[in-house]
Amino acid sequence: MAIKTTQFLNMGPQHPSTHGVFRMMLELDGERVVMCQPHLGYLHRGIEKLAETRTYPQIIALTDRLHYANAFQNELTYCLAVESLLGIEVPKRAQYIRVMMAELSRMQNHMIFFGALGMDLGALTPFFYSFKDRETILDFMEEISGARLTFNYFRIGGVKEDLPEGILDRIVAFTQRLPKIVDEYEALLSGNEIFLSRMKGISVLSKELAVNLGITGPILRSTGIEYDIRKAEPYSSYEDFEFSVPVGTKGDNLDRYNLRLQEMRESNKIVRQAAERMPDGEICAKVPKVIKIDGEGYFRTETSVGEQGVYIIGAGDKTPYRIKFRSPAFVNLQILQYVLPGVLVADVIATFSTVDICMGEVDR
Amino acid sequence: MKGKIKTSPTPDDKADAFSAKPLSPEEIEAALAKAFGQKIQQSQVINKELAIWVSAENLLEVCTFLKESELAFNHPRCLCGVDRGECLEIVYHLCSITRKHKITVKVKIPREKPKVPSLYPVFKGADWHERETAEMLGITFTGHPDPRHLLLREDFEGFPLRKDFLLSNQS
Amino acid sequence: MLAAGSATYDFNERSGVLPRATPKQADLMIVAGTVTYKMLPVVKRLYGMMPEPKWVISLGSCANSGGPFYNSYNVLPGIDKVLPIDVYVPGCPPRPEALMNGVVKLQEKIMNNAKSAFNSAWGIRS
Repeated sequence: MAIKTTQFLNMGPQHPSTHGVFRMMLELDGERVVMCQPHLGYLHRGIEKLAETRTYPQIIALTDRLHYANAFQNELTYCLAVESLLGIEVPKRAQYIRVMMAELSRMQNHMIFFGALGMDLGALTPFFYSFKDRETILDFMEEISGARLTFNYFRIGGVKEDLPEGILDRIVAFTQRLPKIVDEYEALLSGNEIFLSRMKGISVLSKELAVNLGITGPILRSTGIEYDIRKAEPYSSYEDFEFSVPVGTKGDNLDRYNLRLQEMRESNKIVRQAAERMPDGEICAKVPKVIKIDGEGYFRTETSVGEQGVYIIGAGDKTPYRIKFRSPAFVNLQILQYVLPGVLVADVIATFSTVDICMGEVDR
Repeated sequence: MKGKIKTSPTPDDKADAFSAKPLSPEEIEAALAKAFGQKIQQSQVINKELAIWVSAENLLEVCTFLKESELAFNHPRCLCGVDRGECLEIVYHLCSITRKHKITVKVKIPREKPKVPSLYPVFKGADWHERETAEMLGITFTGHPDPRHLLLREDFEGFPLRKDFLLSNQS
Repeated sequence: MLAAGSATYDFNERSGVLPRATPKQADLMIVAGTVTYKMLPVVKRLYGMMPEPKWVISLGSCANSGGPFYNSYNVLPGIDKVLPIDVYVPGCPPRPEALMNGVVKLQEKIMNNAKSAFNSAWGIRS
């Protein structure tokens, strides 16, 4: 008689290392994962339905609450979508401010990723280092927008307020320091023998599968495909800045980690260029007092997680008829079912951490 | 002899040159009209993006063609359902990673017993999108391998994204 | 909440708050964030797993009242409908300082309760 030797392990939904409320059912054969079944929806707040009852400017506050580290980029996507449907030309200064804030938040997001990854692998020190530097960035953001995480700073047509005096010099000074900070991070983890053996060759994602699944962002690039929306379809003056797109080769955990550290350096270049070349002028375009949209459009940007898309259908009303947030993490999380079978149960956490998700964005 | 082969491009070379640059919406429209004719119910350029309407029966065939022909729409970006009042509409946003052009495929289905074939055999990425759309609008995706609720709890009643589902402060 | 424990604020060690990985070793639950109807049974069970005496802090507008999602079909508008809350911390999201203040307030509350219990046991009028 054949005896079933596998056992089931439930992880979550309040497991400390699931970055929020995510649940996985793992089927284990000893220490190896045979099957992984993700369960989500523990943070589903119905943002898309709620947005149908709010006016267009009010929705900006909802987009903030999708991802706590990417709020600027989500606001940007939504504002760009509404602007392109209304045909509003945003002043150059506002575009540069937006790019600067978006890239600062990308750096900040990758710092959280770095700290959380270290913590998940049992090293607490990276967490303290990265969160110390993250606070510096958050202080800039607070000074500029008035809030620490949920900013509500971008407006349809521009930004809410002009930059405070002297902040650009301090941002430039910070960008001069950042390469050393990233060097420090690399010294902390990248060469560590234990870290390498837990990351190298684990949870490999193939090119074909990544494309077929609709994966975007650092995970897609880690498989060796050079695809970045900032380069492919530049928006908000990204074509003015010089930066390169780091690309991985193997698509394993280590590639995903290295790529994000490289991206921090590239974002740093963009922030510096934007701060140094900040043009003068208006910060907000002329926008009708009551915004009504008739028509539909899909707009997308590259956030630190991947392709954030907004699909707006307006029926000539103050509120959208239907709005869809295509969140990158929702799609990226699907790789777990494909890459986890065959890895050790301890590496599940490392893999999960390198996907870099925020459940608020996945569940919406 | 060799020189001759070089000057006249082989079909393979042609395809490579073809696949290098993105096509304009009109070119994609022409290519699709040539391949399918009447099966494309309607096509329109919205916001510099081509949108086509197909019937639910032809959806799989059209999407397989879009993915595997030289148009190379290999990347499923987004899938969502819209309640259009008298009917439901499912909107597929596809794009090409290699050629960097994009297309919107739309399917209109009746409000009563809405059914549409699952795109999972073509695009694995449609998996969770379809589960979400199914529970939010009450659409059956035939052939989906795992048609459980994704975001809502199992005993949830109603379809939140339909227009007749009201929130607590709506009347 | 993570930032409160990090280097800049260093809250955990300074005020005697030690994060535990299991509710069975905890006496304070911080409900941080939106509670949905799908999550609710889990929250209830976690609360039930904690040994007495136990306290609950509701962190942020979403846990206090539902916040911007108060009328959603899937959000519980306020965790206090289900669990007894000791301290409400406002903000969306609250600053680390607000969480610190909340914990200090809870400590005061516990101290006062203990004091009044002592006083009433010994017949002392305060």
